[in-house]
Parts: sequence; structure tokens; C-alpha cells
Amino acid sequence: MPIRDRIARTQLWKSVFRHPMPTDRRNRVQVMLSNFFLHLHPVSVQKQGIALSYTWCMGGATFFLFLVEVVTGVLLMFYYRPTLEHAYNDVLALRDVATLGVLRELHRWSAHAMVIAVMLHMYRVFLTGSYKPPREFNWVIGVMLLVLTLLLSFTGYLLPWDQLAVWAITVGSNMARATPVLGLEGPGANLLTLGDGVKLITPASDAKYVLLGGRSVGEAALNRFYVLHCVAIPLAASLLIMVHFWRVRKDGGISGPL
Amino acid sequence: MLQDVNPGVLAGLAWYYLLASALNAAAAAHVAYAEMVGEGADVAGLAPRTRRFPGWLGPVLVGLYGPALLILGLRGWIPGGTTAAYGLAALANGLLALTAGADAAHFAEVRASGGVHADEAHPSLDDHVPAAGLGGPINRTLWALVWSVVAVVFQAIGLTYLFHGPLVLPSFARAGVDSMAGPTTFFLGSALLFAATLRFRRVVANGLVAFGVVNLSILAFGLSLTDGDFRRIVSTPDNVPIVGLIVLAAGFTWLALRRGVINDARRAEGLPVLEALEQDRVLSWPDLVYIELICMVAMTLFLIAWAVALPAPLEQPAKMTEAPNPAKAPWYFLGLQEMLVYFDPWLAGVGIPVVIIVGLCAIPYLDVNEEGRGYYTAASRPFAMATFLFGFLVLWVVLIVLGTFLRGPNWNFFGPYERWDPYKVVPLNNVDLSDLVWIRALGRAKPSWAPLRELPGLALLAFYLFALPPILLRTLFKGYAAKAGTARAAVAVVLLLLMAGLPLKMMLRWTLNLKYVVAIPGFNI
Ligand code: HEM
Repeated sequence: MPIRDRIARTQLWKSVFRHPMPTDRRNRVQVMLSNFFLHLHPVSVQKQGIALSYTWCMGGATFFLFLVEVVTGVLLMFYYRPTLEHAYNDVLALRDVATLGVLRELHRWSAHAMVIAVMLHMYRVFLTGSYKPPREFNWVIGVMLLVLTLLLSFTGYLLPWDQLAVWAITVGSNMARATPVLGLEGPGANLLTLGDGVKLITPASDAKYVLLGGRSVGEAALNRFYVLHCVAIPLAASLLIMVHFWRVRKDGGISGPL
Repeated sequence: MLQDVNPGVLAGLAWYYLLASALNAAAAAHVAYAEMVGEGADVAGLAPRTRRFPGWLGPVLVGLYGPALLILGLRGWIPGGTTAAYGLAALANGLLALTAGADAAHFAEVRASGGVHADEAHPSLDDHVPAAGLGGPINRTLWALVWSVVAVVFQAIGLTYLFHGPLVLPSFARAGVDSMAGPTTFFLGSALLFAATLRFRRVVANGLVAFGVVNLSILAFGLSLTDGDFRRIVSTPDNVPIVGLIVLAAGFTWLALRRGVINDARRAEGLPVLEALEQDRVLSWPDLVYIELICMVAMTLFLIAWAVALPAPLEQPAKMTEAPNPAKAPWYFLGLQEMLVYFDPWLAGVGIPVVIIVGLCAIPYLDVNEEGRGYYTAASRPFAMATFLFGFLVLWVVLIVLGTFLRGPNWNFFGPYERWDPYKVVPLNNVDLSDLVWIRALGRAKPSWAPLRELPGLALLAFYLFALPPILLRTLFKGYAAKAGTARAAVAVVLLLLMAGLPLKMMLRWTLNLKYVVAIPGFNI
């Protein structure tokens, strides 16, 4: 008996893979049903729906880049401490000291690529009219994912703590100060005033302060962005991606004519 | 003359044109030898083809490109290896281009002299069978020759750079472009280009036209790279992805328009759309899973190559007392930062993003056109296409490009070949609408009571947001309102007006130097 078959008959192998190699129709169906990672997919798909000329593979690319971000991001977390004292030097050391010195590059360029891919995915979904019924709500979920992707990238931008980072975030977060009603310099900032002139919106309580945890980009902002970037937003995005994929299937698979 | 280019840049340009030449040689070979059947075209009843890629050419090409790659990989150990590799690859390019051109001419000659298939009344697969909607068949001989000539020319340019030939963009051209460039010309030019592309999509969808545009872009970009200032901006590590975004957005737009043109023509002829031709289902294993696997491997390789080639930027440690000039937000927010030129932060930074998000979410509920679901089309949803593409391509991508590449210190505009001079002074003489109305039109002092002073602006705003929608709903959008219902249509029209507000305000700034329509501190619009 060839060694391959012998391995496939061991108890160990069979406990992992519940069926023989997917070489015939029956087992090709089986593998899609019994494998956790593959069961994201339906057992069979319409040929045109998966054509590269139709989807441009941009949704899949976005998801793949998200996974790359998760893996490289976790590895980066081993090296990086989000404090004013260490942040910059840790990032510096990533290039000079760490083994596999391209970790940061992989993470940063994949992040850029993910932002581009998600925009192009949305563009494709629009162009093929795939948001039309019954997929309206999945489009809405998609928009939330778009926003989360941008926020992921934005919060990560601060972490190297160099001039590029803090000033980009300063420019960005200055906008929060102008939020209507809730920002110190936004229209209607005085609306939230208690009876005898006690203002609720102050430099220490307006929208920018909430975003940064301080009046300007500082240690508290670094910590806040770190937690958002490494925990909160990835969790939210993962959840929405799961819902997104679930809905793609429940809405009848990738769209097609008729 | 050469102050802008150093040996490294010359070598880079030499390889750039080598690739451009290879691309054109491949195009020439494609036109000369390939079976050119457009998407969904019917080939039943055509005579079999006789054009064949010559058997000897394949091994010879492998024998040239292969060693070239090998030598390139080992260049550290082989003195002069880079030049040798270049020579081999250039030779291969030239060989491919010339053989393709010559063979195309040869095929034409055989046919004209009564050779293969010339006696048959109907066309053969040797001809180009175009897809519906894209015009007639092309002259394969002519175009194989054209692309092979282009390949040879590009290769000649590349060799010139290899031997340090002083080919740079002439300074009068740079000065000319810089003096013509400005936020107004750039934005309006892009908007016009967009409108023309959409309007003449049947022409643009033609592969020859598109490939011609690609070649022109390659040449323009290559020449621009000889300018130090241009190079500095496009090769800033964080800006490189945006070059990619431009290429991808343009390429995908072209693909979508092309398929749209074909589908629209097919529907007009009563044929099924391209997407309906493949109705059968396939098993996810292997068809889908393998596509995914191949995509993942390809992307992994791509990412690793990118990461090795381009170090991530790390500037000086943060100093909260020393703001860089210009201080730019991350690139995907630069369109919004550009809006700061025209709007106050509460609109540019908060109002507009919120409207964008709400507007995007609303699209599926506002677009009640049942046509165009699940296939590419342009003709059956012209309004949706024009609006969304304008929003995405012009208001989002073009403004990102503007903010990234053309905005320098103090957020001043700089031409593509202009040095970023932090002391450049641009006179600002913007006026408010109240100035225009009270002082210039009525010739009197502005009233000091703010509500009265701002009355013209407030009236204009009220008209735009409250009076215009009902008017539009009864005129331009009458059919839409009848179909979608008044409430839905009203939301759609208001969102459209908000979106149109951006280019409108921009145009008011360019024509009237208008700063604010309503100037009430904290509520400037
Ligand atoms: C993290 C972000 C996202 C991920 C990982 C993702 C992933 C995917 C994938 C893998 C598909 C299957 C088809 C394809 O690959 O094109 C899909 C479909 C879809 N996506 Fe997304 N997506 C994301 C964001 C978005 C956004 C921003 C939108 C729109 C605003 C969107 C709307 C849709 C819709 C409507 C479909 C169904 C398309 C069809 O049936 O043809 N998604 N998504």
C-alpha cells in the first residue's frame, strides 16, 4: 500500500479529516461542508459569480489583507510598547534589530493596500449594481466596514510616534474640535450649557478630548489609539466581516443577472 | 542639463523603458499571433486559424530572458552583470517585436496572394472578431507593426539611458505644465476628462485606444521621472500606494466601461449579457478554492517584494513644538483636507464625512432602478453611474491625488515639476457673499446686525436646501419621484444637492473669490 494511503488510514489522520481526498464529486462536497474554514463558502457557486473579470477579487483581497494585518500586527505587538518613552525606539529597532526586519513594512504596505482594495471592492459592487435588492443591507454593512478600515488605518498611523505620525493625527483630530454642538469650536458649542452659564463643552470635555484623551496628541492619545487599533476596531471589523460573509450567502451568493 | 538625474535614476529609467518595450513587444505578438475573439463574440462558422507563434521563438525567448533574470539575481558576483542582463533582455524585446511585425506582414501577404483561406467568402479566425459594440475588426498587420515599432522606440530610449544619454524633459515643457497647472485647471481638467470618458465610452472601450493611452501615460510618467521634484513627490514611500491607486482605479474603470459597452450593445441586439453566458454552477472545491489559493500566493509574493523593496518611513521622533510644513493627514483623508480650502473644519472634517457615509448607506434605498443588477452596464443606469463615478473618481480619487502630489507647504498649490518652496506667497483676497451684495452690488456699508448682514447668504442657502428640492421634484426628477415615492425622492434630491454643493462652492471660489456664503463665526458656510 502506498505510504500516502497508509497515512490516510491512520486514526490520527481520520480524526482530523473526516473524508478521503477531495478528488471525486462526493468528497468535494464533503470537504466544503466539514471543514470549518471552507464552510464559509457554499458547496457550489455560479461560474460567472467567481469570474475574476466580474468581482476583480477585490472583496477577497480585502479579507486576505485583513488577515495579513492580523498576523503581522500580532507579531509587531511583541516588539512595541505604546508609551512616549518606548514607542519610537521600538519602531526604530524593528528595522535595525529585529529578525525578519520587514515586518513593519509588510504591516504598513498591506494596510495601504487594504484601504485601496476596500475602496475598489465598493466600486465594483456599485458598478455591477450588486447593492440592489436583496443585497441592500449588506451594502450598508459594507459601508460600516469601509469606515472601520479607514479608522483602523488612521489609529495605526499614530503608533510609530514620529513627526509624520503625530502631525497627521493632529491634523485629523483637529477636525473633532469642530464637531457641531460637541466640539469646542464647532457651531452650537454653547448649546450645551447648564442654566447659570456652566458650559458642558470645555477643552477638557469636547469631542477632541474624548478622541485623544487629552487636549492634544500625547501619551493618553497614544494609549487610546493603541487600544482602538489593536483590540477594539479589529474585533468590531471581524464581527462585521462575519456578518458580511454570512449575508453574501444568505442573499443568494454573489450577484448575477436575473 | 543633468543636474536632476544621477546614475541611479538613469539606470532605473533604463529598466523602466525595458519593461515598457517588453509590454509593447508582447502586444505586437498578441496582435500578430493570438486568436483575437472579443468577449462573447460568436465564432461559429469561421474557418480555422493559421497564424501560429513560431516554434523556435519560444525557446529563444526563454533562453534570453531566463539568463537575464539569473544574471540579475547574481549581479553581486558578476562584474558588469547588470549591463549584460539588460543587453540580453533588450535583445529579446527587439527580437519578439521584429518577428511579430514581420510575421504579421507575412500573413497579410500570403492572404493577399490567394494563400490560406483567401478563397473563402466568409471571414476566418485569422481575422479579429470584435465583441459587440466595439466597432469593426482591426487591421492586425497594421497594429502588430505599430506596437512593434513602439517597442523598438521604447527600447531605444531605454538603451540611451543605459549609456547615460541626457534625455530629460525639456525645461520649457516643465515650465509650461507648471504655469498651466493650478487647483482650478487640475480639478476642472479631471472633471472634463471624466465626462468625456463616460460620454465617449464606446471609443475608450476599444483596446487600441486604451493601449495607446497606456503608452502615452508610460511615456509621460517616464519623462516626468527625469524631473527631481516630481520624483521626490511620487517616490515618497507613503505616496507610492497612491500611484497604484491611480493605475488600479483607471484600469478597473476601463474594464467596467468596456464590459458595460459590450453588454449594452448585446442587449440592444437581443443577446444575453456576458454575465449570463456562464449560467452553470461549479463546485467550490476546486474552482473557487483554487482561485483563492492562487490569489493569496500571488498577493503574498507581491507584498513581500514590496516590503523588501521599499522601507516604511520613519521620520524624526515626535516633537509637539515643531509642526512640519505641510502637515498632512493620512492620504485617504486628503480629499477632506483639500475641502478645508473651501469649507470650515466643522463642514470639511465632520459635516461632509457624515453626509458621505449616510449618502453611501442610502444608495440601495434610493436607487429604484431594477435594471443593471448583476452585470456591467452603463446605458441602463446612466444617472446612477454618472453620479457615483463622479463622486468616487473626481471628488474622492482626484482630490486625494491633488492633496498628495500637488499641495505643498502652507497647503499652497505646486505644479508637478515645481520645487516646494515654503516661502511661496499666494495672494488671498477672498470676500464673503455679504461683501459682494452689500458693498459691491448695493454700494453701501454692511449692516452690523449679523442676521441682516447675512440675509443674502441665508436666503440663498434656504433656497438651495428648501425651495430647490420641491422644484426639482416637480421638474427634472418628476419621473423618479413618481416611481420612488415623494419621501424617498426628496431625500435623494437633498443628498444630491449636498454633494453638488462641493463643486459649486469650489467654482464660486474660483470665479468670485467667494469665501463664505454665510459668515457667522462658528457657523461659516
Ligand atoms: C473589510 C471590508 C470588506 C470585506 C473583507 C469584504 C468582503 C467581501 C467578499 C469576499 C465578498 C464576495 C464577493 C467579492 O469578493 O466581491 C463581498 C461581497 C459584497 N460586499 Fe464586501 N467586503 C468589504 C467591504 C465592503 C464595502 C465597503 C461594501 C460597500 C459599501 C461591500 C459590499 C458588498 C456587497 C453588496 C457584496 C455582495 C456583492 C455581490 O453579491 O456581487 N463590502 N464582500
